[in-house]
Amino acid sequence: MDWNIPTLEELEHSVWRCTACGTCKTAYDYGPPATNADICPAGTEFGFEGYMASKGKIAFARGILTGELELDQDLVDAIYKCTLCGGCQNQCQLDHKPVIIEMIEAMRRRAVEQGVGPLPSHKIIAQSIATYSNPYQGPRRVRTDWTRAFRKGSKPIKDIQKEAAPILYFVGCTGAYNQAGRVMPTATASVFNKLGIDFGILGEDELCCGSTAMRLGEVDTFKRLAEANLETFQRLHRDQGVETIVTSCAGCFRALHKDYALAVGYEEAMEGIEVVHVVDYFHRLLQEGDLDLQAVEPRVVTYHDPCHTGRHMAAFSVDEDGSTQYPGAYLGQDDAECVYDAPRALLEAIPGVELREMVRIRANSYCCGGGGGVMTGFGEWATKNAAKRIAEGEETGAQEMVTICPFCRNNLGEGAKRVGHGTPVRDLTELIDEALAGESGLGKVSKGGRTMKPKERVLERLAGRAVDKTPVGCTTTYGMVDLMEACGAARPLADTDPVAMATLALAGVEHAGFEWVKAMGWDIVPMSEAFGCALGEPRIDMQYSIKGHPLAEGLDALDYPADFLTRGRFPMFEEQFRILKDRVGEEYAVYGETEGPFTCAANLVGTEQFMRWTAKEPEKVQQVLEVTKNAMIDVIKWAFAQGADYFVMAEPSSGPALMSPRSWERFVKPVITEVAAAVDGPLVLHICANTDKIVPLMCDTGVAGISIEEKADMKYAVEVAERAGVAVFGNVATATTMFMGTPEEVYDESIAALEAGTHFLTPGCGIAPRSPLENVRQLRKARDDFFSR
Amino acid sequence: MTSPVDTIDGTSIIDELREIVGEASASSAKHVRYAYSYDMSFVLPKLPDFVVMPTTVEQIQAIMRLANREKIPVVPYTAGTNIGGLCIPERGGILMDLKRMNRIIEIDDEAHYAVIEPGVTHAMLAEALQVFDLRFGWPVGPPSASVASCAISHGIGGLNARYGLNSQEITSMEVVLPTGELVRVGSCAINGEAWHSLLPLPQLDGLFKGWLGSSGVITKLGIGVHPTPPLLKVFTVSCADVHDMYSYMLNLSKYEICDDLTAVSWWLSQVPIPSPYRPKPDGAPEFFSFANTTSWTEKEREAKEEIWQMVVDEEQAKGTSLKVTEYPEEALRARTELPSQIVGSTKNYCKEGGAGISWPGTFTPAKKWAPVYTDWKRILIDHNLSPAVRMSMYRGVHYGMLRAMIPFSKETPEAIENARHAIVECLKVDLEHGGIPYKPPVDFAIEINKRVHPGYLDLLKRVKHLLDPNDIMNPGKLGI
Ligand SMILES: Cc1cc2nc3c(=O)[nH]c(=O)nc-3n(C[C@H](O)[C@H](O)[C@H](O)COP(=O)(O)OP(=O)(O)OC[C@H]3O[C@@H](n4cnc5c(N)ncnc54)[C@H](O)[C@@H]3O)c2cc1C
Ligand code: SF4
Ligand code: SF4
Repeated sequence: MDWNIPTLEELEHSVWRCTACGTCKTAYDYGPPATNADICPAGTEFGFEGYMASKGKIAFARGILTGELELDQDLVDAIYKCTLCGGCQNQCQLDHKPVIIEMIEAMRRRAVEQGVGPLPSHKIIAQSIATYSNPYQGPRRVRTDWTRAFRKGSKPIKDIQKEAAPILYFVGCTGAYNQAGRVMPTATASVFNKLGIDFGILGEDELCCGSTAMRLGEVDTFKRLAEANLETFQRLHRDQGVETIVTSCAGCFRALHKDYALAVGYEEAMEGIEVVHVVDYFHRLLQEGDLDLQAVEPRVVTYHDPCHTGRHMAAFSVDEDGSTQYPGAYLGQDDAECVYDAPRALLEAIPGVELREMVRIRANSYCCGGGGGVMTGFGEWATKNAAKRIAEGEETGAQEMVTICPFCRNNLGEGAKRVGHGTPVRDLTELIDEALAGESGLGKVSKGGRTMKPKERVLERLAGRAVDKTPVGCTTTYGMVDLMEACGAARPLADTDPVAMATLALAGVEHAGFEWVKAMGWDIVPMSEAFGCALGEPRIDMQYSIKGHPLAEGLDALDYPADFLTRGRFPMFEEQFRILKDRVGEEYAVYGETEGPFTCAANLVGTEQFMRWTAKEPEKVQQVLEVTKNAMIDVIKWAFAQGADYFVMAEPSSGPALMSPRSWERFVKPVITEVAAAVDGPLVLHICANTDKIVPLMCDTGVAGISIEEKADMKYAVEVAERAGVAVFGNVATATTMFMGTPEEVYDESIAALEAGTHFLTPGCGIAPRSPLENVRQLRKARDDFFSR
Repeated sequence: MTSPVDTIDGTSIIDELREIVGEASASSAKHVRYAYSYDMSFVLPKLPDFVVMPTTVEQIQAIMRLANREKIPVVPYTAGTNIGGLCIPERGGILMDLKRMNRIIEIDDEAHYAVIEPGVTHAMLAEALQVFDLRFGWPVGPPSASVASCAISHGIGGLNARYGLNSQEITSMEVVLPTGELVRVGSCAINGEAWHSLLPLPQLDGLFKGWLGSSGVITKLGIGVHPTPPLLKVFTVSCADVHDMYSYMLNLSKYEICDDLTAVSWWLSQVPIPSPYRPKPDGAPEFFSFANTTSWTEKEREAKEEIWQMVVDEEQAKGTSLKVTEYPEEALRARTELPSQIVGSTKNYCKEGGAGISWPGTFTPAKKWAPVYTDWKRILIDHNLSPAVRMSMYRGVHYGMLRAMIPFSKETPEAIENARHAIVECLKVDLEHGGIPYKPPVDFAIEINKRVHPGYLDLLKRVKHLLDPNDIMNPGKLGI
């Protein structure tokens, strides 16, 4: 196959078009209002003009061409200090604009040709691509590892070589080999399944698209891969009916679209085959009304435009024959192929998602810093740059950064870690998957072997005795949509129907790898409900919440009804306990949970007013607490009578965000202490937020365990609790990490909690309904890894 | 002459520079130096020996002390877009890239001044000022170039008919002298918080303006900024003849209603300038003019329009070729929506011509514009270059900027020499008519010095020697 890939010499005329005006150095727009921002990651980091934007890179090209610069190691290093993001290209207005990236790549090709490029770290990748046809040094069979969950599930993924399908999903090496990157194909396939889309993959026979090789200047490797792929595409079109190639990787997308188009005969080779990015594909479905996106946990997101799906897709028109201006004149740019609008439209179509834009977006998006071989060649700089982008995202108030490129996702994720409190970075397909109902086709996770039985492990640990490994599970609520889908018992039924409640409770064990089981619903309002609080309507992803306060007008109605334990859902809970004990009582500990006496009192009165009373009318506080305390004692006694192995009192309203340690000591501590003294069985006290200041008080109430959030210091809590003979549960962040973070982040936080000495590895609080199951599973994975080290 | 690599006591200069600014901010690598060896002008490339990027005043002082001790030239640089080769090191030495000193220290939206560091770009300041509805006289140059460098080089901006040159906007200065001492001139010399005025002190700022970076390193600059009236009205006319355009501009300028009163020849009104020279189409005007006015109220705007109409009527009554016309759209945007990426990227100048651009850029009495233009046109066409000429009237005076933007290819030495020759010839014509070139390349400085009063040259040398006894600051640029 012949290729139109230019040499540096062939681009010489373009090199001499650059005036060194420096307009490419920043993204400036007249507006009004005027905006200005750095656009070149290399220039921002290294500062010297040679590193700055296309002005600098063209200086190198010029020096090489005139012979004034020798392609020595220093210069080669400088040429690879460029993410090939094209940010500079977007600013330039002169005739060489269309070939700015080509000029930089031509220098790299020249370096490779002369044996001085790429950089040593790149050579490993280049070698891997040449040997394994992927940059990750992964054997072929690993390419399909991500499909295992589907194989075990209900919808194994088609091998397109064996079964015809109109869509070839070109997974890409990063999605297949990179652990973090696998969420992308998994989410993509899950969405396809949910939508009933007929697709297949090449599986172990998929080859690298060649993008990385091309970017590094390894043009021969690129050509070999591209030619093989083009041949495969033609064959699949002819024999298996493939009409569309969908890719969820920005690099593959650019390669298939733009780099392959440099092949002579590309048009004919690809006749009848369309290459689309998965986001464009989903966007089309949205426009056609075929994408029924449902509400997700409300969140503010910002969108990062990857260079490869964005400005790299711009089509430049050039006056080839001089009929409009003069031969070679750059005439203009068409952004129709740039994937700018589709991701934004999709994000805006997901109920619950609010999109807030950064300053540098679309054609002026600020590169994550990972492209062009920089992540491999200059990892530290790549991360530093990503941290800048994350910081820009955080300025919008976004809780998540969404993107559509696995490189960006990985690199930004690293940047987020560097920022410390970093924003979670997610792929848009993950969000779409989350917002879509349906059968994803994902199977169960397998469980590892164990020495102690889970129940034994939990009870022994609760009793303060040694165990083989830290028990892992959840000690608050875990009414997650993913679990509901996995087990078929969904809210609202799973809030009221004992069978559904029990099924969902067991799904924690079956699908999330938990080692004990929750009874008594997926919210913390059962006592308040029995006292007569009005409740909000639950949705699949929204638990029961308090909507009305019976004592808001005064304490006249304060009463502890004699039939309390037959009110609300207590009868259903009774049945649920029975089912759970019957089914898994031998093997797994079962726990009950409600709001604690203080939170229940606050619910009855209204939290604001109740808190005011703690300062102004303490006697009223005591009056209500007296009633809720008695109810609490009765409920716990009742739960133990149903077979509960331990009981959790959740006291969010008594958290440090709402009251001072002094007030806690005055109002909450005595009540909890009385409750603990009055019942026969282990109690766990859960309080949200940073509880560092009240941990000693919590441990001094007679409870067997305390449950703390990530905001609290686990090490300190363990230290205090162990002295008091109390166990600590926690403390993986539920909102920032389990819900919005990546599996890796959950994993890392789990390890951190284990290292800090947690006695029970659990989420720090109730798991958000839309938390990805994959994230939640990381608790178990981390625990197992931790103890098999 | 190239600079020594080692200091007199044997340590390496690059090591000392790194000691001062940090490992990553000083380099002697050839590829780093190379990008500073040329600019867009016809001035021949020359390499610096070192590049440093200081970020503090103290670092600059330390570099100057080192340079003095070792007698190494120092060339201040911000973006190198001066079109005169002014940052190309005539004698090698240390290229001091100040782009990272880019803080906007203060914007006083009541006293209407801003205090900036040298690396602050037009784009940065434009973004910051608009928050306060303030503006500045932006040049039609790259948004990424320095405000301070433009101002100290007597730069010309879009408000020059209203407020004068950008150097006239300077209100205070902080400077590191060539010998390393820190000085302040203007109100900030008396009170470190006060940056509002150079007057009524003796105008020592003159020691640092128009010196082409050869008398000290500016580290802070106070500059006047102005409120932005909400109503913009651009009056555009065309003439078939340069004399008619001059007559119109002279007439209109006396009413002082314009922020910018500029005329450009047909070749300059094209985006891009035709290169090589092409005759303009039959019937196309020789000159277009745009007169930018801004007003606070409709009434003010109407009053300005009334004056402008009166001038047009008067000029037409004289039987001139003046016509009220449309100005080519992109060219007009390029000159009224400033700072502009269109001009900034040299799209309107160089797109067809190539990597080079130089100018005879001058301050010339308005009454000489027509004869100078006529000669320039002949010279330039003889060199196969387009007479892309601009004339701008300055505040309240009947002189102004007369310049020809000359794009050229840099692919062959012949093309560069052709442009240089034409431009120097043009300059000579202008000098004969009493014009003075601004931001002059060395070739121009030589032509100036051939003509200046001997007392001026002597004084210039004495002042330079007083400030820079070792002649290390951008040496050679003044042609002395
Ligand atoms: C297309 C185009 C159009 C232009 N149009 C205009 C215009 O309309 N009006 C106009 O005025 N200019 C114009 N210019 C010239 C130039 O862009 C501006 O004057 C610009 O602001 C200069 O900034 P710079 O950062 O490029 O300065 P540089 O070129 O880096 O420096 C200019 C001079 O200042 C000296 N210098 C730099 N920093 C310091 C310092 N801190 N202390 C002492 N000396 C220093 C340098 O040594 C040099 O002599 C144009 C340029 C281009 C390319
Ligand atoms: S690449 Fe374009 S914008 Fe950058 S310096 Fe060259 S001409 Fe100017
Ligand atoms: S491609 Fe990106 S990193 Fe490379 S020079 Fe251009 S702006 Fe800088």
